This record gives sequence, structure tokens and C-alpha cells, in this order.
Amino acid sequence: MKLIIFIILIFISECKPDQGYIRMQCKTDTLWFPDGRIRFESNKKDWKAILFSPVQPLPMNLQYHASGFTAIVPKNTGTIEGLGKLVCISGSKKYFFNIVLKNRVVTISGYLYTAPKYIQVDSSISQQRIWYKTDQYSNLMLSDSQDACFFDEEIINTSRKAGIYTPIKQNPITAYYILSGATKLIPIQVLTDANKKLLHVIAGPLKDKYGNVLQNGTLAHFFYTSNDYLYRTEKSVNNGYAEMFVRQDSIKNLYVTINNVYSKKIKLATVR
Amino acid sequence: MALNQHIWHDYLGKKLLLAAMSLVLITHGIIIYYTLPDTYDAYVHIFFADHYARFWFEPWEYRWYTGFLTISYPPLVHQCIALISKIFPLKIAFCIYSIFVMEVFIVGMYRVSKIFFSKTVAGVAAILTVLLSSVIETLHIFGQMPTLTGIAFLLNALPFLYLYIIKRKVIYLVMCLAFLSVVICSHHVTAIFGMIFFIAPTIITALTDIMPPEKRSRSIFLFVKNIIRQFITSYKPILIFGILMIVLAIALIFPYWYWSKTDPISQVSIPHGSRDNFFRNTSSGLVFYIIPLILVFAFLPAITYTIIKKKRYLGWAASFFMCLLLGSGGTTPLPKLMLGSNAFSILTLDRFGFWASIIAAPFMAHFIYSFLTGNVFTFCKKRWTSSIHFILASLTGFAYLIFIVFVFHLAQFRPLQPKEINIQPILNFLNRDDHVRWRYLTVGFGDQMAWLSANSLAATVDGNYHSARRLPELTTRPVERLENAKFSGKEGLASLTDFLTNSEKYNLKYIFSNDRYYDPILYYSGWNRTIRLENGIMIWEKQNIATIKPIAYKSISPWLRYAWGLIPVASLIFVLLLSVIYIKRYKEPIYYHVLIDDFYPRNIIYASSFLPLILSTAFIGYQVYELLLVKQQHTPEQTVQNFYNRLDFQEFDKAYRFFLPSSYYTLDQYLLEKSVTDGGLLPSYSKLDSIVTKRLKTDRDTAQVQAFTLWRTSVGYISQVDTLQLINRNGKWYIMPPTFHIQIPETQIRDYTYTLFKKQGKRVISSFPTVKDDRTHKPLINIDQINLIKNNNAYYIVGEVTNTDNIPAYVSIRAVIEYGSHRQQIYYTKQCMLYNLLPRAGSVFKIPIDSISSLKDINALKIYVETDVSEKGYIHGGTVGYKIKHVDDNTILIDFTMYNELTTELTIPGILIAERDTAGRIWQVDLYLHHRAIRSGLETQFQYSLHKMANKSSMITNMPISVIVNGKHTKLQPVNKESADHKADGFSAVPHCFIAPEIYLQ
Repeated sequence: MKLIIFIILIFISECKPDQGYIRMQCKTDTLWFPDGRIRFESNKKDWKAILFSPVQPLPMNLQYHASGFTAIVPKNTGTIEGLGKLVCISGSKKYFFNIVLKNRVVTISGYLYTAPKYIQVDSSISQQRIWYKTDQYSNLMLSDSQDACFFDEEIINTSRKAGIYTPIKQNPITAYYILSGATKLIPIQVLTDANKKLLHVIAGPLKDKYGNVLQNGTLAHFFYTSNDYLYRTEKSVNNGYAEMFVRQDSIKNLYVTINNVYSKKIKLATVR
Repeated sequence: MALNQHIWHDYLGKKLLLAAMSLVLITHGIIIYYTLPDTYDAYVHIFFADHYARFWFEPWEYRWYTGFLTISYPPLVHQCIALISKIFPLKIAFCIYSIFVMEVFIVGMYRVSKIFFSKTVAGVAAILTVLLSSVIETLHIFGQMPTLTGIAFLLNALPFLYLYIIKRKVIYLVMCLAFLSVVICSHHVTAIFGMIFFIAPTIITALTDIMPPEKRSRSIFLFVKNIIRQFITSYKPILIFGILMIVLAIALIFPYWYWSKTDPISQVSIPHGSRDNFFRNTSSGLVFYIIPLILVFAFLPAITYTIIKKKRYLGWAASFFMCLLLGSGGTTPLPKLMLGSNAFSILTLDRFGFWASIIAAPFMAHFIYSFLTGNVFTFCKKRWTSSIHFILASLTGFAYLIFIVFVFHLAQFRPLQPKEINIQPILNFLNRDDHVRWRYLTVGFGDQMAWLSANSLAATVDGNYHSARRLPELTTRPVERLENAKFSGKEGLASLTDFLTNSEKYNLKYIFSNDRYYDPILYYSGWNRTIRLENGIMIWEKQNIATIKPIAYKSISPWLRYAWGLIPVASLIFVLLLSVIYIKRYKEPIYYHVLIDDFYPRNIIYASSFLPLILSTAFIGYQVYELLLVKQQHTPEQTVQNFYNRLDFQEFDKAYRFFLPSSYYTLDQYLLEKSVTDGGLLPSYSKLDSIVTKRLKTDRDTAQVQAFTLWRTSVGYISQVDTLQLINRNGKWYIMPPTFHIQIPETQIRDYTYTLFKKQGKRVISSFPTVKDDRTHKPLINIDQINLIKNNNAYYIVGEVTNTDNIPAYVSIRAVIEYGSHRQQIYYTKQCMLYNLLPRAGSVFKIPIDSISSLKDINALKIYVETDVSEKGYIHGGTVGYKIKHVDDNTILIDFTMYNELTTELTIPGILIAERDTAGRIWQVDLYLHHRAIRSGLETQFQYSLHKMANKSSMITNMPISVIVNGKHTKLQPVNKESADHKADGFSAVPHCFIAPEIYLQ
């Protein structure tokens, strides 16, 4: 009986998998992207290596050689720089190695945040701007300013000239928008055709107090009376003008309003 | 009976059973895939199956009604389809399962018939069941797979119950309970009522058979007395069965009972055609009573004779007549009295008719067998000749088969569902741009809404399983589904309106519309059309809707979840394995105390031989008559009513046939005149609700008829009175074509300058949320005034907003009333508002508040305003002119004129009217919609009577109102008295029109 137990124990001990060994052979613990590699000494050939970067796990390519293997960063990848962990897995065993991750090749891009992006000239025109730079893998870079900080900030007064401004050329995302304000005056004129059958009512040029033409699509209401009816026509401003044609049948008291600003009232009965 | 006769019947019966099973494959098997999309319920069961395929052990289903528990319905059918769907697509899985169940059903019918008659008759019953109209209707029209599964396994359980009581062998009890377990796990209603209508008669039959023959008295009272005595002496097996049955019924679907107890159904009953009075509503009677039971009625004399002939059938006779009575719905008050008003208004009563037909099937088969080869055949041969018998049999079979073909295609003749919708474009839409993060709603989809749900992980506020509804907007109204609200009258539209206006509450952002009927209510509730998908579905969108937030779902114990996931399927596997073991080890030739005698009295033979032919032919004849031969122009009133019916279904070519034929008034001319005069809310977006005709004048050949029509639109009812002149030609009444008054626009080619805006959306192509520096800003809005008005006991908020920005704005406004203990009520603007505003445009608005008990209870009244950039909907109509025709203390009668200067028709001309006082304060806001469209370049006049509120209501000024615009507190400015809108006499009016053509996607 004892012999049987002994044989079983021997068998069990023989069945235990070989745990093997692993040893990192690099002089530095920095792993450079892309194509960085770390050499390991090991007596086994069934390794899997996963690099845990600050943002995502990355499976490493493995190259075996006589005394172990080399873990190689996949091509064309970059990373968020900082501390990472390389995990080498063999069977149920896992080995963790602390690694510093760095990008070797970088393209630097500049960014600009402007707030507010939409500025109506009737309100404040001061604007806050924040600049910063990143490499192509979104690592923040130190600015070129003397303070050597990551963000540069300034507050400026923008122009009151309505339009689209793009501080960084070829970068539409950085665009900000100066919008025209409200009109203070609605000039109005009425033209008639040769037969005096049709009135052409023109409201405009419609500008804000800084001379900017009103936004296309701004709603203008034309009011007039005819045969005891009070008529209301809605027209949108186009290139600074809102216009309307109306039959000249007993038209009286014609005026235009935009957002509670009134034109002069024209008593058309006297025009006839 | 001699043994060789038994063997012969055994041989013939099995052959007939095989024939029946093969017939299932070549009839139901072939057609089921094509009838499935038109069924009432198939897609609902497919949706449940999809749930189990995705989340087997998770009973919480979030995709309908903002979430419900699937333990509210026994799961076996759905789980089986879910398992098959792991290999086949869902629809195919449903078809495979239904064929399997039909085969089980046929075997069940064969086996249960053997209790009554010989095996040959049982084989005939099996074949008859394949072609039974009630079965075809249940499968191909109603798609009630759980009902079929329940009855299929119940029928298989009954012979084992019978044998258990007769022979008292445990194996029969085990087999019986195993089959009943599947019934319980498939359909609880079948299990409950099956105890009464199927199990009780089986027990009575068994008790009769074990009773000494001398005790089977001819007197019914003595027989009942003896049965009771027999029951007392043999109570043990019945008691054991009863106790085990109850234990199984509770244990197997315990989560269902747990749900019923903890979350009881308390909702307004939904009307169902099976509860109608079939004399009053003949179409319901046809679908729920006549069609499924036509053969039962045809063979009723023979069934009645046989079922009451022998005492052992007494229980079955009671069940049969009881089911037949309950299946008659509200035709008589008896079903309601028997079931009680609560059960009556919850149950769908057509299932009782279905059960009656199942009970009757063996008895019908008995007569058919006798008619073909038995005593009846001999009688017929003697009375007439065998040729006449052959002709009668052939004609009857042929007529019934034509009737069956009709039933198979009933959904085509009387469409129950909209045409099949290709859901792929909708799925593509839901899958992109995170659209699944909001809820959606379908309208005009029919039961296909369940099919869409089954194919998507997106959630809808609607659903198709009424018992699980818990949202008060749904449970307080008798509305089946939101998506077919138009068929539920006022209540349906009120329910739909609640969801359309309270959409933010349910994170409802998208509506997929397959029915333009809903366009007006959608547009005037602030929804914007976005795109029309390639399958023709229009997508409506509402802005400023938050994404779905995680909610605490109703969870049940993990044990119950695992029990729900494992026990039902295990019961089916168990019964299948047990059947194999039973057949191999325990099955023995069993011969019941069956009725060998197939004698029928002469009158019964005459009636039941001819009635099937007469009824089948009469039914087909009636259908043909209704389709082709019905006199539609027999009287002036009939002519007018049929004419309006054609108009209602937009069958203009058929409507034209009611006009007096004339070479001057051709179909082309009619359609042309119609196209220029007949657009708008009434002709294009309404359904005829009722029509009453009154003959004004009549003589021999002419008549004048007044038609009072009531039309149902999504924005309310419209009544109309038309007077039509009719003329009699060759016995048919024709309508004289109306005099056509043409309005001709001055211009031949119109131009109009629109300014369109395009929001670029995400300029950075990324599936991640929009980066901060690529977001558009929220348009600036100014709140001009807000007033809380009290009119009698009703309150409402009115006010005015202006878009002060340079971009068009979509504005959403809600009022939050805060009471003590953190209780709050939220109210939204409904139809009285312009939601989309051009730069510098403004709108008045109204928020109805349904209940404020006392102002003292209110802690705060807050108005939240949210804005978003609007791309569509900001063109509101043409030039509005108005003059006051009459004014007094209570009303202002206004003459309106509206001129359409746009390049497209104003489909629904509308005017948003606000009553103002001299200080410019708003007292009320109302929306008037004109019924007829205005074509481009034309003008129309109408009158509107404004009932003054300023004199009879009060403005609450001592209640502080907080205004929060885009999350920022804003101070209200004093009302601008000089505003142009205030200069008219006590009111202002702006156009608010719906433009249907999608050229502008208003």
C-alpha cells in the first residue's frame, strides 16, 4: 500500500507543469514606440506578452531565440506616454514588468480653444483663447513660451466686423464667428411699376449699429391695411434687404418690423 | 368488438394519422412563412423569443414600455423559438416550431379521439383537424402559438389521465402530468380553463367507464348521482392527480404567479372584437365566431345527437355547449354573467369558440366517417343512389376546401396589418450616430412594430403586450397600442398626444411614420421631419431630448430567474424523453369503451349531410356577392354612403363610378378637379368616423340627399354637411357631378426666395461624442412674458418668446410645478406654439395645466426653456389678413384671409391666435386649422370666433415664476406695449401652416 501511495505521489509530482523561468535582459526599462523591443531570457517557448499602456492593452509580437524571446511593439503604433506594465504569460503564470513608454517619432499639432465661439456684436466681444500642443498620439507637449507650461491663455477683444475667423489656417475647427447684431433702423421704400398696379416694398439696407448687414434669414414682418383687413406678411432678410410685392389695391399704412424695431409708416393712399 | 376489427381500425387509424401529419407539412408547413407577417400575434411571440435568445436568464425587457418583466407570460414557446433561432433566423424558427406544434396537436387529436370512437374515426379526426377553420385561423390569422401549444399538449395528456383513472398505473399519471407541465409552461389560460373544459369531462368519462353498466342510468339525475358516488369511491387517484396538478401549476411557473401577486394588472380594459355583440358588429361575428365554427354549426345536429347519446360524453357535452356559448361574446348577456364583468373584459373570448371546435372535432369526424363508409353512407345509398351520394360528398368537400382557401388568405382579403415593411433601413438608422440612446415610436406599423423591436436593441415607449403595461398614459385608456392610435378614437389620440408632448419624460426622440394620418399631430406637437428612408418610412425627430438614463429595473431573485430559464424547457425535454421511454417500455394495445354504433336518425342525417355544403357555399356566395354583386346604388342614401366609403379609402376610381356617366365628366376630369380642390386636413389626413344621410327632396328620378359626415383626424374631429343631387338611371342612383368653381392664380410661374440653413453636424468624423470645439452653440432666446391664468378651476400658462439669435432656433418649453416633499409635476407645450423660429422671429405659447388643487400648495413655478439649432420647419405660411367682423364682451368674430405666396401648397393652413389686453399681456393662445389646402398663388377666407378670456378669467400675479433658459436663470422684462402684435384689437395672429411636400422638409 505504501508503495502504491509513493508511486502515486511520484506520478503527481512528475505531472506538475514545469514553471520555467523568465528574466528581462534590457539595460533600460524604457520601451520606445514604434518598433521598441525588450529581450527576455527564458527556457520556455509558449509565451504571450501584453503591454498595458495607460489607455489600452496592446498584444506584443514575439520573436523566439535560443536563450529566450524578444517582445516587439507592433509596427505603426504609438501610445500615451508614461508608466506601463508588460505582462508575460506562460500557461497560468503571469509575470509583470514595469516599463516606461515613450514615442520616438512625433508630429506636433497645435490646438486652440476659443470661448465663446459665437460672438454677437451687441454683447461683449471679449474672448478667451487657450493654446496647447500635442503629438500625434495626444500627449500634451510643453509650450514654446518662456513659462514652459502646457497651456497658454489670453483674453482678447475681437473685431466687431461680422464674419468667420479662422485663427489657425487650414484648421476649420478653430474658427469662431462674429455675428451681426440687431437692427436699429429700418429704412423702407416703395417702388411702383409702370402701370402702377404693383408695389415693390423694399426694407433695407438692414444693418446693425456697427454696419454689419443683418444675418440672412432674419425674419421681417410687413404690415399693411387694405379693404379694412390688416395684413401681415413674413419675409426673410437676404443680403441686407427684405422685399415684398403687393397689389396696389387701396393699400394704406405700410410698415415693417424686425424684432420690435419699426420702420416709418408709409401712408400709401397718398402715393396713389 | 372482434379483435380483428380492432386490428383493422388500428391499421387504418395509424395510416390516416400519418396522412394527417403529412398533410400538415404540405399545407401549414408551406404557407406559414407567407401568412406569418399578416398575423395578429406572431411577431409578439417572436419578440419574446428574441428576448430569450439575447437574455435567457434576465427577465427584465427594457425595449417596451420603458421596461417590463417577461415573467408576465409563460415562457416555454418563446424559449423554444429562441433555441431554434440559434440555428435559423427568427421567422424560420417560428415556422419550424409551429409545424412541430401542429404535428403534436394532430397526434393529440388522434389520441384523444380514441377515447370516444374507433381508431379509424380518430384518424379522420386528425385529418379534419388539419383543415379545421378554427385551427387555421388560430395559426395563420391570429398567430397564437402558445394557445396552440397548450391545447396540443393538453390533448396528449387527456388519454393518460383517462387511463390512470381506469387502470391506476403510475406511469399514466407521470405521463399525464408531464404533458400538463408543458401546457402550464406554454399557456396559463389553457391550463386554467383546460381543467374545466377538458380535464373534468375526461374524469367524468373515466368514472362512467369504471362504473358498473347497470348504474349508467338513462335518467340524467340518477346518472349524476351515480357519478358522484363513483367519484367518492374512486377519489384517491383523482385527488392525487388534482393535488399534483395544482403543485405543478404553482411551482412550474411560480415567477408568473409571483409577478401577478406583486404587480397586479390594473388597467382600463381594451376593447376586443370577440366581446362584441355579433349581430350588431357582424364583421367581428364573422371573424371570431362564424369562420372558426362554420363546420361545427354545419354538423351541430350530428354533434348534438352523438354527444348527448351516451352518458360517458355528458361532461364533454357540457363543455362543448359552454364553450360555444362563451365564444358568442357579447351577443347575449350570458357570457358576461358567467365569467363576471372583470374576466369578461380581460379575456379574448374567441378562444372558447376554438375549444368548442376542438371538443367537437371527434364527433364531426364520427359523422364524416359514417357518411363516407358507415350507416349514413348506407342510408344515402338506399335513399338516393351512390352517385348522388358521391356528388354530394364531392361538392361538400370542394365547397369546404374553397372556404378553407379563403380562410388561409383571409388576411389578404381583409387586411389586418399594413403592408410588409422592410425594416433594414430603420435598423441602419438606429445603429448609426448613437440613435439607440433615445427611445423611438412607430406609427402605422401594425404588429410589425414587434418585428422591428425583435431586430434591434433600441427601445420604444410603445409595446404589444398589454398585460405588461404600467405607464399611466397607457393603462388609463382603452388603447391597444400607440402605433395604431387612430383606431382607438379619441382615447387613442389623447394617449398618443400625451407621449408626443411629454416626449422628454420618456426620452422619446424618433418617430418612424408609416401613415401620413399622424403628420398633423406630429407637426403641431413640435416634431420635425428629418429624412424619408428608402422603404418610404418618414422619420420625425424632436430636439432637446435627453438620452435614456439608467433606471432601477425590477429585479427578481436569482433563484426565480434560473427557475424561469430552466424549468419550462426541462419540462419539454422531460416529456419528449418520457414519451420515448413510454413507447419502448410501457405502451400496450389499449382499446377503450368506444362508440361502435354509428346510427343517426334520418333528420340528423339530412341536416348534417346537407348543412356543410349549404353553409360553405352560402359563405363563399356571400363573399362573392359582397365583392361583386351587392347593389351599391339601390337607393339614394345607399349611393351616398357607398360613395363616401370609397372616398374614405381613397378609391377615387370607384368613387367616380357613383357619378352620372357623362362624356363631359370623365374620370380624368374628376381626378383633375379633385387634385386642385381637395388637399388638406379633411381630404388627406382624416378617416370617416360616421355618416348619416337625410333625404331632402325626392321624386321618381331625382333626389336630394344631405350627408352629415364626421371625420376623425389626428388633431380632432371635423364634421361636414354636404348636399348632393342624385338622379335615377335604369334603376341605379347616380350622383350629379358638383359644380366646379375654379380659382386661377395670376402667375404662371412663381418664384419665392427662401433662406435655408444647414447645420453641419459633426465635422470631425468620429464615433466618439462631439468634441467640445466642434459643438454649435445654443441659440439665444428672450422670454418676453409669462402669465399664469386661472379660468374657473383650470389653470394654464401663456407667454411669448423671441429668437434673438442669428440662427434659426428650435424652442422647447416646460413648466415645472414644485410642491412640498419634493413632489413635482411637469407640463409641456402642446399644439399652441411655433417650435421652429427664424432669426428674430417670435412665438406665443400655451402650457395647459390639468390639476392644481390649491395655489398655496405650490412651492415654486419654474419655466424651463431649451433651445437648439433648427434646420427645418421655420417657414410657417403665407400672408395673413384679418378684420374684426363683430366684437362684444365675450367674443371677437374675425374674418381671416390667407394668401399663399410660396412655391408649394399650404397643406393645412393654420393660424396661431393670441388674445391680448391693452397692456400687451397675453390671456390665451389658440390654434385654428383650416380644413382645405391652399394652392400656390391662391387665397382663401374663413371665420374664427375668439372667446374672450380676459373678461372671465384671472391672471395670477402673486405667484413668482422662475425662468431658466438653457440652464441659466433669466429675469423677465416688462411687456413691450409697442409690439406690433399688440396693435390689433385685442388679439394677434400669425400663420402656422403645415406644408406636406417634402421639397423643403418643413
